[in-house]
Amino acid sequence: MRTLDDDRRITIHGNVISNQMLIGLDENGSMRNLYGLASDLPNEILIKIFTYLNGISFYRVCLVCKSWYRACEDEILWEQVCSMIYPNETQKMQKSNNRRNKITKFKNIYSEIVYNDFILLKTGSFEKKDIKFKKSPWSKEDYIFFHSPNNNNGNSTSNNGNNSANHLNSALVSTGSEENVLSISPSSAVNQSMPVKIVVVGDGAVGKTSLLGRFANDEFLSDQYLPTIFDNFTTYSTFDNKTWAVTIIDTAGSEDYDKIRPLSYTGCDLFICCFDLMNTSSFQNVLNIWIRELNLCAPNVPILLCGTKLDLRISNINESGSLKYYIDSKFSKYGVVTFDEGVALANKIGNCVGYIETSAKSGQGVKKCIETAISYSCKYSLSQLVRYMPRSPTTGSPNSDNGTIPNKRNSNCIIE
Amino acid sequence: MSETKQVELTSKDKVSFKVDRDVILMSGLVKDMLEEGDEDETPIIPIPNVDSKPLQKVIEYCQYHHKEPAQEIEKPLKGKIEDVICDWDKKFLEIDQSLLIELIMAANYLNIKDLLDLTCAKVASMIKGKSPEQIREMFGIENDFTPEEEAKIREENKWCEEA
Repeated sequence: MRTLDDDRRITIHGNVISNQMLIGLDENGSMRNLYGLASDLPNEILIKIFTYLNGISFYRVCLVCKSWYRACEDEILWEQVCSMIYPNETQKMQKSNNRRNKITKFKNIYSEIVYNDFILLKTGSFEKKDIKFKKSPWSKEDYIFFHSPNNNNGNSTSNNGNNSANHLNSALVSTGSEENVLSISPSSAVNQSMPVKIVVVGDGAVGKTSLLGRFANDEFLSDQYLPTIFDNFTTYSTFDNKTWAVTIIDTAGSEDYDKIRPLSYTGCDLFICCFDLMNTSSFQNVLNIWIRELNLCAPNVPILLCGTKLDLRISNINESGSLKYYIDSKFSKYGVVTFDEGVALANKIGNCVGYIETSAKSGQGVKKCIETAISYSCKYSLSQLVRYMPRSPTTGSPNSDNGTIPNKRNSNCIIE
Repeated sequence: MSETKQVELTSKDKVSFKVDRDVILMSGLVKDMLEEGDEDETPIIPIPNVDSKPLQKVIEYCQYHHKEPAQEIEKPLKGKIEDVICDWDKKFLEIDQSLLIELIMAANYLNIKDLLDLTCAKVASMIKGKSPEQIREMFGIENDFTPEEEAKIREENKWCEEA
């Protein structure tokens, strides 16, 4: 019988392996028979390995082989990954019993995280704790559907299903059977639609996030101010008989993030430029800072001017209809911005498509604001498409019959 | 030495290892087996799924870590695994890939959570930041997707390519 000590000696002397061998670059090429076991790893171990991954590498592993793909599609994996970041959301979702539906939602949540990771990666300057993983925009159990994402499930929206998960379900049913993993494409709705991107900008604390929060979740959190760094959500809309996947991106208003904010401007189809109706300095900054920045980084992209905190101005209007100027009041320290002033500013900005006043607190104008933004961004995207098509017939023609657009994002400045 | 109870483990290729009982209790499997069995002088436990080489490594790990439990590895991994584990573990992981995979299987079979975490994290660290092609090459995995299937998955995950 060999004792342990003997064996250890053998191990140390005979088996110290260089890093080169670890990556399969052994000079005599005999590594082939040594590895190859990795593809035989059972599912639960693959899942365990994958839970240590994050961001983009997570998605790369599913392209390796079928068994890895299957592990990537596993519910347990997504649950684990998301519960690390969104414990509350995950618990809520565990109650939902549709497996495919659940995975899709987990993935959607995860996509946010990847974006956040991306920003982290690019700047590398601030710590993880600085990034606020805000409440998921999907907390209302679903995306926001203006209209059904495609014709096949048009009736699912009309039955006005109170269980909003129905929407997603029916969208998925039309794509294939539940059993065959590869034939199902959870993001098929995304594939069939054209992407547009809207970026919300404006001074810090004017209420950009509240505006989007009201639109996405129909809620208003009055008692807290959490500066955003980066956030996005996706919604679907139809315009001009096409389905659009609208990504709305919330940015950091504070000048601390002046350097990273323009990263999100790439391929943007419309900017919503926000200012606080109760804060004239934020109003002046629209012209002094924001329009200047946008014209520099993304010229010709349409801008929608948006005044926020309308409820505060309304509450400050006299019975006679004239405005009271509470110079020392908490909100109107800088006076207020009137509707006429807003319109005048909108006229001054060359590529401004409109001016709208909103209140995230009361919900007034919010829906109209975002819908206007979406329709203008779709229009702009289409006009870009028309201009772009003749220039690159190779990318456009193979897909032109099913309505896929060439990737116009490549044409703009590249973040790398 | 005679005071500490010992256990004899027999690997798949019939190599025996004598280990202190306290050490091998890190393995959930062995622990369960010892609790069931009666108190022999040195109980012999066959480990029919594990070769001597990985078993040797497992015992090495247990001998070190039964006194000082390993720190939990944070999920997801930030940076390289080498930054978050102790020096001993770093040295321990300087092994070739097939042994690493065997070690994972052994840890899984013997139910040693900390070792499984460590080895899985190591593999994850190796995967991180590599393209699917590189991963395949690294682990010698055959690409069993048809081109259509591959294109489809790429399409599904397009958003992350853009980022």
